[in-house]
Amino acid sequence: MTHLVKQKIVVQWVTPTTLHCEFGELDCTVNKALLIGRCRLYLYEHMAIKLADIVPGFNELLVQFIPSEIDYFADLHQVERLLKQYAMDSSATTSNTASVSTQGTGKRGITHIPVDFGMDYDLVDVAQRLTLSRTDLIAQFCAIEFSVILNGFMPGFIYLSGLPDKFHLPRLATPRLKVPAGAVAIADAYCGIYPQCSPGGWHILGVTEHVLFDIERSTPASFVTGDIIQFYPLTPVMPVITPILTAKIAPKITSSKEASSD
Amino acid sequence: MIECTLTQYPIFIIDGGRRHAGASGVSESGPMDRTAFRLANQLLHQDVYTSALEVMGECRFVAHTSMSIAITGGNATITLATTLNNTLSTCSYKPDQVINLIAGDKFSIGRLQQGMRLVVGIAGGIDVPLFFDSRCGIMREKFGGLGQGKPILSGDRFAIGCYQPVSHEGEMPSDYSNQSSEYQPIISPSTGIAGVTEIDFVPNYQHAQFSLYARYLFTSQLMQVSQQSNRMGLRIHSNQAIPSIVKHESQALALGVVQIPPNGQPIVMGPDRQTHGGYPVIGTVPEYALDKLVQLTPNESFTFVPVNIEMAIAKYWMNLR
Repeated sequence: MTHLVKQKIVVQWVTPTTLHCEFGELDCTVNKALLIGRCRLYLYEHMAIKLADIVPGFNELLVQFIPSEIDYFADLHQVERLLKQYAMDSSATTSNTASVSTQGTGKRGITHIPVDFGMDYDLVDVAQRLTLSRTDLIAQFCAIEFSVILNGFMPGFIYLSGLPDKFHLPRLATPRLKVPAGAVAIADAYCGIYPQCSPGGWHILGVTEHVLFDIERSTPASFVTGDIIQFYPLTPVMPVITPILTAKIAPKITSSKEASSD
Repeated sequence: MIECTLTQYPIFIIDGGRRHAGASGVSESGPMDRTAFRLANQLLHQDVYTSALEVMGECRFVAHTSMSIAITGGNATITLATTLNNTLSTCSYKPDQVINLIAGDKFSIGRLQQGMRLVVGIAGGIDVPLFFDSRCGIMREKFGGLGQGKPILSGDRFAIGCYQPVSHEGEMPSDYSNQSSEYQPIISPSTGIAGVTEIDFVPNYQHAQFSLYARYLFTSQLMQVSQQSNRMGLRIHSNQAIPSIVKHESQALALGVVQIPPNGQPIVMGPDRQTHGGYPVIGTVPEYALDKLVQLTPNESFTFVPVNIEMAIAKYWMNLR
């Protein structure tokens, strides 16, 4: 019953075509993101014909209607009823929160993503700030099972939850003008992957070649809310390498990669 | 086929915007001035979501096939140069009417005398690929538009689509050119302080968390749209900064949300906004008011006027009629 009380959902029209559905305090981010993700699918299931889009947020759903299909009072009440009904049903049936977090809406297992933990970016700096060695940082980071909260900010940029408290760092004081495509980065409570080159203020730990968004595919974004991701080092992490030595090795690795991709 | 021979600013392909794109992190996009966009298509008697062009300044085109166009949204001189029987004749048109072109005709749009952007409706729309049910393109997203998200620049050629009139009465589009007199340009100063436009906004999102003083400053001073505005967002200049609040988590952004960043200068989010943003939001500018705001030049002043959502909905439907 405590779950029911906590899942407070406020639905209101914020523009003449958009309903804002705010989800109140819940126990943890993972389950809230999942609940919001599933509520989105549930709304689509029941009223798809009226909808132009449903944008999931960290704490809300933005339901955009096709103007000619709007019936203000009926739609407000239907969305409210569907959301509350779904939230109640899910909290009643899944008392075990752990099972919810591993199921995912994508019905997929864990996706393992290779990361090149090069020295070009913030890895050493982050390791110092967390008072960890570089190898320990990589090992601990690769042990985390991340959950996809949502795509946002740019096409295919995924926000991942599951970062332990000790990894929480504020954003860079001065954002980088150029974050490379595939950058695996952390900021505050989140981990994220940049799908394309852009400015950004997150701490970059490494770079992956995993494709996050491809407009030519039938489903362009690779991940949906609830998918589970775990990173692994592309190359075995060598424990004792001085920065001078890696500086010599790093260009070799990148140049050989370029040659092979061409 | 139509060719843009010269343009001062990039020209954007617009339509009703993307559908079901937000969950992939893809922007909604769409027209800046939706009233003008709908009108252009209504004049051509076709579906109101048919793709059109959004023009911000002087530009010249050559029509390589016969076509009908309608230009709306502001005031500029439209010149048409036709060569018939080896004689060149030019005539000028006003906006808000249908102009019929034959192959080889050259038409140019002069500097905008009123407003900031025009919509060039084309019978049949523009024939470029659809992504997320839309032909809009955004450079940073690298898809849509003329390809790779590109807008139309000088020298670009593009195909026009198949004209499908909505009417069943067999009328030619040109018959509608006389019927546009009912249209009231939306860029008209309203009541309140003389010469100052009032822009409606609906207080929502984090409005209640802003201090009384911040809310007072937001509605009590004259503001201007900054020159640094674009399709992503309109940067607003206010003399006195609006004290912002601390908000950590990003949130999904509706069209027209007013973000207050730490520097206290509001940003009204446009059609090409990112799906999520981290700045606190004081309210939303409804579509009909946004259509007015996007047409204000940097030296025109306006004030934000709070309206409740019921009023905004009523005005929205009045504007649609």
